[in-house]
Amino acid sequence: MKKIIFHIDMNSYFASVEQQANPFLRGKPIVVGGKEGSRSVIVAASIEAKKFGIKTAMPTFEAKKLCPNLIFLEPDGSKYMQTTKMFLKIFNQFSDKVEVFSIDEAFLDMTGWCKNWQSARDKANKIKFEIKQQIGERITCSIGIATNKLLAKLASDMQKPNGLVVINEKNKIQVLDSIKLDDFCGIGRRILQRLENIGVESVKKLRQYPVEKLVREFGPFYGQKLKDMSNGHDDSVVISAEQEAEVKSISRAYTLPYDTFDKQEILQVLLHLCEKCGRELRHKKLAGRTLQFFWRFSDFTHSGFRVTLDSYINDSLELYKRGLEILSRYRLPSAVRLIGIRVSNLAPNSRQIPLFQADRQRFELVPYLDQINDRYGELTVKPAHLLKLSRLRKKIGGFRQGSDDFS
Amino acid sequence: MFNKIDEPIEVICAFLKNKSLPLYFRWGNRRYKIDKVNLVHSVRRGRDKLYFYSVSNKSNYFKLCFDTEKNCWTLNESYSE
Ligand SMILES: [Mg+2]
Repeated sequence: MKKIIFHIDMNSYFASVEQQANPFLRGKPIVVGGKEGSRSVIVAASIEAKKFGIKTAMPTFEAKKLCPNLIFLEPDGSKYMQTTKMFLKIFNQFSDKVEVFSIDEAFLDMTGWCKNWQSARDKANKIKFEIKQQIGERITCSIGIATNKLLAKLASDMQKPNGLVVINEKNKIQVLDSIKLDDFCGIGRRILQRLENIGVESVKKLRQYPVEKLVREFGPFYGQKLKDMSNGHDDSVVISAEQEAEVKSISRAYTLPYDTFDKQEILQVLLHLCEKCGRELRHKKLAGRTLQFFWRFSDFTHSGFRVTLDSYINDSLELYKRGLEILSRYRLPSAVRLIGIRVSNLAPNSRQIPLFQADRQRFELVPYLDQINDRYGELTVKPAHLLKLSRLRKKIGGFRQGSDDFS
Repeated sequence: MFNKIDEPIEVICAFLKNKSLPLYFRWGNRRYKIDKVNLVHSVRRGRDKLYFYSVSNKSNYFKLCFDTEKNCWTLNESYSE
């Protein structure tokens, strides 16, 4: 299903909040931050001040030169934080998935909350109205609507202040070809320079540039990402605050009741740990890109390997395969007592459909396997490898969750 | 012209269904009528919760503060042209 994503950006935020609080500042060039005439910098400028060419991060004395009547205000952090809380509360009435992107920006996943582009526009206007009603008439925002976060963010940038822009299939390419490469969130000065070095100076050129060459220049992950940007593709998910507050990594470790050199046994434990880790990732709708396999020896020294993959994974067998690769190449210097896996570099699971048929079948099966396991207990349905493990498990105590021994 | 003030004031306040609106306040021996509450925000300081009311009338802006722990009002700021 096509998604509907809103990106909402409050206009000249801190300055607008000040103008909301004090009506005598409205219509005047004001700036927040910095003492008048000092070497400190501007934190925020009102719409009126921006007309004089005053920008965020500009030194105060320079701003004063551009606009001698400029009014300077001390930043009042709690005022802005509170106002942010107020507009987030409003956003949460419109969607269950609200991602706070910064103090004055948020993404809303509106999929399922609006039937079509028109109803999306109506919702956006309703949000603007509620902000005016509940917070104040001077607080305006620019709302960008599109099928993904990348385009929604571009759309909100296109009309300021008080904008409402929809990017859909009809105008997508036209919009993409009219922007500069560094208008994309994620293309900074250094990437821009590297793109220019290979002759890619526009979004259009980036779209026509062979993906293999991009991969060679920027690596498989970022190379593909650049290509996706040029086509307006983005499958990143709107992460709500609750999801974000969750753990930054997921790990499982197990201490054997005895020391062992037996790789077969170690691998069986590893498979079980991968299964547990994978299940937790899937349960939390996350996938990870950095895997860490670690083990502790009988003498309490420890060792491990860390890999960062090109793509995010959360399939237990996939995790296990990586561990197997590493362990089979590794010669154990002494007997192993503890085995562990940690998955970090987490992102919401976007559930990209695998390209290959066999993978696809497994991919589609995984949620069902988890359901059965959830209902009938851990490891009711398990890979054949694991069968022997239940015997091992009976012999020894329970599995320990996580591990504090390694970090 | 901004003025930083930190002085106790007496306030007449209306308590409506879901908000409270200061209507008048006395500062020194002058009485001020409030025409508009422009922004309300709060800050927690330990157990204490402070409510700030940014209000205005035809010629002045004021920032009032209600301290829920001490149960008293202060005038924090004023601005007039
Ligand atoms: Mg903004």
